[in-house]
Amino acid sequence: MSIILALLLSTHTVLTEGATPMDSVAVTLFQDRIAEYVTLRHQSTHWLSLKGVDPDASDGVAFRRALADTIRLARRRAQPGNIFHSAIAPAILQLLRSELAARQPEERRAIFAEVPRVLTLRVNDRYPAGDPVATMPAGLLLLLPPLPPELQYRFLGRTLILLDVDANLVVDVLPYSLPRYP
Amino acid sequence: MFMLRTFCRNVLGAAAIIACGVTGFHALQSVPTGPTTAIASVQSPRPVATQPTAAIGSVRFAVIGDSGTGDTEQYDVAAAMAASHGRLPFELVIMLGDNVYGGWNRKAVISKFELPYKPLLDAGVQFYASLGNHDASAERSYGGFHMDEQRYYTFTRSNVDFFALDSNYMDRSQLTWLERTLQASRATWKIAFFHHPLYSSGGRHGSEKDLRGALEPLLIRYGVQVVFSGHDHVYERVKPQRGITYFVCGSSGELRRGNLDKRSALTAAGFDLDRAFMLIDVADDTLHFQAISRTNALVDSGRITLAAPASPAASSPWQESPHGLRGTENGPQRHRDTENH
Repeated sequence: MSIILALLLSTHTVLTEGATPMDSVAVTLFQDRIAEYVTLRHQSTHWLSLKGVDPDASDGVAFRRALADTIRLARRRAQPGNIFHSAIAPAILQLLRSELAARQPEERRAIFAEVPRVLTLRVNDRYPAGDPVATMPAGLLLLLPPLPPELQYRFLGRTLILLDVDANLVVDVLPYSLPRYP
Repeated sequence: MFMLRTFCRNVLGAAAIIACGVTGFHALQSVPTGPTTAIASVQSPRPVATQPTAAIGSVRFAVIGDSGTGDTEQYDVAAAMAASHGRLPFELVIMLGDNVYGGWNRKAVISKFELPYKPLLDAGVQFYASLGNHDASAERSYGGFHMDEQRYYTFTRSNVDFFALDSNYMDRSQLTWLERTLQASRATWKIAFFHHPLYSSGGRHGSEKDLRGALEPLLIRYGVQVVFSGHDHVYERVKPQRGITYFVCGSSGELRRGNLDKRSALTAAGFDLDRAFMLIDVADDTLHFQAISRTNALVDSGRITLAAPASPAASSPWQESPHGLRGTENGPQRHRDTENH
């Protein structure tokens, strides 16, 4: 674990140089909301299995679609900021901007080159089918609050999203996360 | 010379044995070639010799990257792979991501994977996939890719441990898993494969420096000798970097013709005029590689040989040797050299 520890320590330095460390209360609340989502997701999975939806049928495609539909129904009133709550959102925005600003222009260009361009994006949207996923910079991921395996941070347009990996579902959005870089 | 002769016999065939036996591998480069390459450092493509005999006890596999277009050229590469398999069977194929472009559905799986590679699948060849930026997460559930629902995983063949990573999302949990898994590996050869190249001279993407910063320390510390990546739609063998040989093999379906940076100091060999795949043969302390074009021409070949581990008392794990980092019992076991033939 020594290398990982060293990485974390080095990234912590980056964090403190360029951005204010996140408030632990805000992070805890964020993680609580993540945990609530994961619980709901497990319930949805369980419900689908009770309904007899075969996770392996059609290479899992049908199950994933059903999972997305079930979660979407259960979270039909979900709004932007339900998980990226008002205390964590500014800290994440600041972190993103300072971390990206610290990079060389060609690095930024490389990051943004593959971000799919999407004009409108809402909670409970499906990730655009067939579109590539923008690679998340590893250095940035080490700075953001960790997520359970069911969820990932992704860039879509200028928005940071929380993506349910299996359901291919946008769980929350943080609009205008990315500044306009050339 | 014995190893050269063995490789010639195993992989290149009887005609090549004569050539190797007399003049060594470099003589093979003068064999009449295929299309002229645009890259100065690239070897000229040459026909792959036929009718080799199988080696015993080695691990043989093929490598494809950015393959899943469903276009004619992917099928051509697949046919060339099947022809190679006919000459010298390999047991598995590692996939470097972008395995199925354009979305995941049953029709796509058939036209972009199951049909083109049908001869190999029918012959029992197993495919092990890593995820690219064009891949759907649902690919993890597809039995044909042997991912067992995981984004990253490991498997073993003989004296080789393979580490399939998800370079789209190199988060803390994956890095922790990788460190733990590499630490536990006792295999002679540690081979990592993932989509985004840590080193590349591809003009479209190039080296993924951010990913390199996170991954490379682990690869070095725990003795990974060879890394395969795709993403840039070219073939490139990168000069060993801190003791690790990196291959970019992202042209098994897609191609960015002429996209290799001809001035790059990284390139040991490259090919960006047509699609390509790789064949690898690992036996004991030597890994032989070939890059083969869509038209079945040999565009690069060579071998990587492990150095004998140094005495634990003689050096630290980080001591530099003229050929890279020299290993100790607990430290990295670097390869001695990379020779192109």
